[in-house]
Amino acid sequence: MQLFKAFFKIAKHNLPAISIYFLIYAAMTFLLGTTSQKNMDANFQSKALDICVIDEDHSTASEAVVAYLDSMHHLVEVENDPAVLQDYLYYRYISYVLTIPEGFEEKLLAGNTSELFTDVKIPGSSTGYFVDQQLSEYVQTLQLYVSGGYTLKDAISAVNTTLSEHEYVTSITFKQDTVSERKEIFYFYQYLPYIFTVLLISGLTPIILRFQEKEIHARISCSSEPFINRSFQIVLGSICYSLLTWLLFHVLATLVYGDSLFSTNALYAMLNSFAYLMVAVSITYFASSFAISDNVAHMIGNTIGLGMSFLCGGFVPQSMLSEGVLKVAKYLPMYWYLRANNMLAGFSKDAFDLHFYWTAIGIQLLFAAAFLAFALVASRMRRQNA
Amino acid sequence: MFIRSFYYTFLQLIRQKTMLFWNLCFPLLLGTMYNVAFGGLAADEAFHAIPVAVVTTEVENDYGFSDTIRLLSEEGEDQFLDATFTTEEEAHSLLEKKEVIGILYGGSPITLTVSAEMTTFKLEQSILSAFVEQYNLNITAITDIAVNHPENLSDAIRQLGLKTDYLTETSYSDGNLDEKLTYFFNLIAMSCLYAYMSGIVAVTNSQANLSALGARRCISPVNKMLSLFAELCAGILYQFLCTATSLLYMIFVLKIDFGSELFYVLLAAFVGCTTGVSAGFFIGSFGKMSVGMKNGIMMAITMICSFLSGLMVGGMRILVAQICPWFNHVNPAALISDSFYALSVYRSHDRYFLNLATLLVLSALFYLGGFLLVRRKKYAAL
Repeated sequence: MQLFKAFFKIAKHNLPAISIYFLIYAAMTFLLGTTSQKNMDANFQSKALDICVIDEDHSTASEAVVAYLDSMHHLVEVENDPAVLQDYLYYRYISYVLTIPEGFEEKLLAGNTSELFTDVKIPGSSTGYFVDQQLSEYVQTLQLYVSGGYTLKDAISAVNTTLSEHEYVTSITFKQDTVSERKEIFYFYQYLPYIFTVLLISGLTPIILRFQEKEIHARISCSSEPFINRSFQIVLGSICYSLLTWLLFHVLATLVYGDSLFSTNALYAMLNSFAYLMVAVSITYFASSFAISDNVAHMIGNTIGLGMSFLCGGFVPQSMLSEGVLKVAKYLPMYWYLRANNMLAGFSKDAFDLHFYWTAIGIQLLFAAAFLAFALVASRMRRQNA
Repeated sequence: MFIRSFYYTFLQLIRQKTMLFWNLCFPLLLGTMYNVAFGGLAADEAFHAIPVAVVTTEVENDYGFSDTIRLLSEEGEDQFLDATFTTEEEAHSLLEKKEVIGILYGGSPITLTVSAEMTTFKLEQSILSAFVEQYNLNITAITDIAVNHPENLSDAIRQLGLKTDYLTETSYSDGNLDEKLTYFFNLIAMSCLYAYMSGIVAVTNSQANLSALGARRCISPVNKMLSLFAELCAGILYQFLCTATSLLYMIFVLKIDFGSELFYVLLAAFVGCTTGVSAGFFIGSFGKMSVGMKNGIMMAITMICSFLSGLMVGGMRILVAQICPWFNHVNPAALISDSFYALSVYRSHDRYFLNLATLLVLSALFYLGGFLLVRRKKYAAL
């Protein structure tokens, strides 16, 4: 097993450069994973937005509006400075800024139906529409009670009673175990193929390339080791290397996500990531069958990794990609990986379907086999030409 | 001597294919990818009619529920619902297939059923739930008034029929509020910071213990400060040309809205490149680590700065502002991207110039530190 040993000696030599990559990617995966998730309750709870309310009226009515919004959303305290509010709104840290101007209560009691508030929101956005709708309807009901002869206080308490007493929404599930799962784990799996692609192409290619250098290759070829043995040891080395990478990320994931890594759907996702690992290894083999330098390997790794992730929906959800992009993406392995992952997580419109899951795994394995075949053909052609 | 050093460093830089890839091709490539991927991002935020299944009960008085739903489903700009009137079983199957967001049941009160598995449609579910709540609220109000103040019932019904327009929408600026722009701003910021590579090349070329070329230069009778200065200038120009190419590509080919003031946009990119070169120069001057190691360290720093400024996750900048407010004022990537942001959103240039000034101060500190580290070096042996 001399070649196998040599393989890991080279790997050890490359360790510092690769560990920088590894650490950056590990940190990023977990940061991305933790920032992406919000709101994962099984019971139906209305979506709570981050909104900012500036109350200039300080009246019973304005306080009732603030209390109503507070019961549905997170009220964020932001300095009342247009520049700061603009920044928060721009980076979607708040979705809505409501100003209740002085004289609000009088207008409300007088039955005025226009220009009671001013608001700033992302023009045309759903979130803006949502808050607009809630506000208008709350105020409309208050006015309804007032016009029906209620005092303002009675109107507010009547509305609040109706709101608190009834549950109009039921949340149902069609499949038992998807709901209790934590979703973060699927965000972890969403970014994993990018990292595998980059780490394997930039980490494994330089090692395989060493064995292909002209003199080293000649020296190995004239040894007593049979051809089958030689290839076997290098392939075994690559498999161990990629398995180690896979294991390392899963050990990290176990530390961060704990038991949820082993729920049914997460196990499916784990198997899915393993299938993608095979794809990444075969792409690496394909890349290294061309005599490239280490630097070029880094470039190819990053280009393929980022390219596939953007086209296939690794960074931006597939549901947001245009039809045209998705049509192209179908010819890439990462698309199938991500579609299966989205289905398992419930991120997409695909309902859970085991048949589809196995199809996706199968397609990935076919891609892996195809790349491996290309790699063999390419290296044979190169040897014949040499 | 300055011109000669400048010229040859520039030639050396444009002939390095790896650098050309990272500084020129990579931002172009990433910009194109962003454009492809974020094409639908703004569309996703926009409000669309919500698909629902409607199950009506056989009761006689459904308070005009079906009519209301039909009214709200009328096609047009204000279409709120995309309703399918159907049976209970069919509605369930539509919900299971995720073809509708929820099922509305007529009756008194009206109710809504949603699927817990459709976590990505939380906002639509919430909008539906708010609609149901409001509908029932109005019915309860009318009933309450009819019971407690029957004399005012006609007033109340008249009030209910009034057209309401409670909210007046305003905005803080006329600028483009499209969130995807920040990704492009940060991409250019990253490209500017990639100038660190030129800084490292400059310092490696001039240090006798780092390269043979440096050793050769040490024994030549040329003012070292002058030649080093020329190399740094060449590095800035080289990077600026790369970044400007990416910028022009984004503005004119990808049609990304960087605002109308092209000169200021380019000025910000130029100052960004100066900071990038200075950072590379400073780190490059540290110790005897290999060039690869220094590049690795700078790459890590650049990526972390870019990440914290929002290259990968848009809202990162505000998160940082909340946890550690001073960091946005010293993070070069955040400063560069914020300059573009200030140009595109605000009319006045105060914030823009404050960012540039901070970048220049940072660069001055890096250059000063670097020069202090490399000056007056003597070697007994190499």
